Amino acid sequence: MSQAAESMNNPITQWVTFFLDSEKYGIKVMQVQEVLRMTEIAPVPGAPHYVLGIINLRGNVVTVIDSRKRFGLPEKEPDDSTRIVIIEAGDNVVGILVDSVAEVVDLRTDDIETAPNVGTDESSKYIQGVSSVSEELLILVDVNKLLSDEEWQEMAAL
Amino acid sequence: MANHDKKLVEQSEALSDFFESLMRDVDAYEEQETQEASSQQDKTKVVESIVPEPQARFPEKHEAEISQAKENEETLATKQTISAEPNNKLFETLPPVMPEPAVVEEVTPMVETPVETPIVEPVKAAVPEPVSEELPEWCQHEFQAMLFKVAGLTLAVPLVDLNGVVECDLDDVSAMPGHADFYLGLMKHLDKNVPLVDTARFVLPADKLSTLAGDDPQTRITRAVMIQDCQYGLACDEVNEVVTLSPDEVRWRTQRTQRRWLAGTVVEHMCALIDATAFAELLADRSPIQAFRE
Repeated sequence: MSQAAESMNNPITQWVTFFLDSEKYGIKVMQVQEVLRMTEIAPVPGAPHYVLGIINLRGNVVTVIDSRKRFGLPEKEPDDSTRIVIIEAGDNVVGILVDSVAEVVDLRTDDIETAPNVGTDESSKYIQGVSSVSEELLILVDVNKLLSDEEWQEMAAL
Repeated sequence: MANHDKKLVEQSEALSDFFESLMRDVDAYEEQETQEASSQQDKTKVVESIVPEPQARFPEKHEAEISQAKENEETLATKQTISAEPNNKLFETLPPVMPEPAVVEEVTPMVETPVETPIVEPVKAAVPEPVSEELPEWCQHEFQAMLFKVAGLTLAVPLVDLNGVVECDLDDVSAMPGHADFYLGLMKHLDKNVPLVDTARFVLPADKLSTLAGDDPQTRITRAVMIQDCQYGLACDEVNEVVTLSPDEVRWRTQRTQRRWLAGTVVEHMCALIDATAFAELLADRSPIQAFRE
């Protein structure tokens, strides 16, 4: 098979990888706007528990989600490697707080496996698949499904 | 040394207690099923006794109606006799007293309604569909099973369903977010990502789960038992010997609505025999997490 034909059938996608509780996660590079260092986050009263607050991003208000809380992981105090990844999910622009950002990796579609579902919670639909990158497991996240439709609406209303 | 022996005795007692409670659960479940079946039979009997009732009433009512009609006829006959007298006024009043067909029409709907609607239909809806699991083929004759321990409970997996036992270090297991507490994550095995299940958290009944409070799977789990073509790994504390079992030694569960993974119990080895196929089916089920323990 020629290289062109392979790229057609098995295209390469790029993923921004980050760490959360020692596990490596990936989100599509096209959905990442920018990566920020930890900054002051203003809390929003009455917001869902996974919302840390809002930040001012060059005059725009961006809601920041605590991805550890969203993923049901233990809490951790922000440190020097903590980052806010600004992502686009549909019409929404939100920031997700992660432990650290690692790199951008190329993955062929064939390299992505469906994540087995075992006692799946409703909130874990955001796991798009898994892939092994240099002996490490990369958990691929579909940011559009990070929140349910109602939650996205709630987020937009903040 | 004495302390060690004491600890062993305590552990053995705890295990016996748990196993007895597991057996009690199974007994209670079977009793419940028997009671349900007998109550169902009673219900059917009640229905049978209720259904003919209207039929029994029918002749009474019908006789009543007939006697009424007879009375009417007699009255009519009397009146007709009277009407033989040349009295035109009386003769004019006679025709309305004669509605024989009307009497029959009134009788029929009164009989049909109570028979069909209120009694039969609710009983049909109340009949539970029997959930029957056929025993797997391997249990028709003597078979071998490997014993392994999870949180003090001994489980047995038939060798026909066993794909291997591998050492398991939870540091090498990738935890997946948003899953049930018994799902430890994915472990690499033969170039495959195999979901690893904390068997203890999966099989222990809800009231026994408190024994695992504050438990660190990292210190407890040592190996993974691979089942269903390495589709799932069952994390266990220790692996014991392989035993040969005859079907008579196993107290089989043929009707399973709860704990479908439990094929039966082996009193001699104080262990619960798992049905790996049902176990895998339960794990693959995308039902809400709580449904797994029901």
